[in-house]
Amino acid sequence: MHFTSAATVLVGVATALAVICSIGLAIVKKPLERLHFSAAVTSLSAGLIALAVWFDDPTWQSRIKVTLTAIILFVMNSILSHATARAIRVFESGQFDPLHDEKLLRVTKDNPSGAGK
Amino acid sequence: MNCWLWCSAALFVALLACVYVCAFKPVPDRLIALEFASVIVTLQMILLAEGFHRPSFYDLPLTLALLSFGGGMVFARFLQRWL
Repeated sequence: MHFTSAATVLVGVATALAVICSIGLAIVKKPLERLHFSAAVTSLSAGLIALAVWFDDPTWQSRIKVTLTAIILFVMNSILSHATARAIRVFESGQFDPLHDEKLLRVTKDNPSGAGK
Repeated sequence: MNCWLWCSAALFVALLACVYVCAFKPVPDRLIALEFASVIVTLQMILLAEGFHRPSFYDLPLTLALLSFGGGMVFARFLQRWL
């Protein structure tokens, strides 16, 4: 009974997170900002739903498959987010490397915020 | 209807946001919305499989998670090279 309640809470949180991130995806202006919302759902919601299935479902077939799905989503989507960000960078500025007049944020010990001097 | 099915239905709101971005925003944003939609559909399929108590349905989100990675990479590469 307690496990079912925990599963309900976990699924509710995962769904709420996905809906909030989708609203954020629709609201923000820049594509790289949108990418953050997409990555948050992949890493958090999938893990929460997998945990909820572990609590709710006694069969090992379901548990193993949903865990595998969550791991695939977590690993593959981090790679995909990187590839997408790289493609967007090339699409917008024509090259991946920094342009001549472009300032980079460098986080160092002396400059922990990364703000340019 | 149990909570799994309700949550699966609630995720359609997230899909609507993806449809909006795909319809009205520039090309890079559409690619991100497409990837986001594939993740949402994968989660929906997990919720439906658990909601209907059919363990065999878990094969579908597993397959979709693998295939959406390939599809997303192809679109990202296409965007980087030719658009």
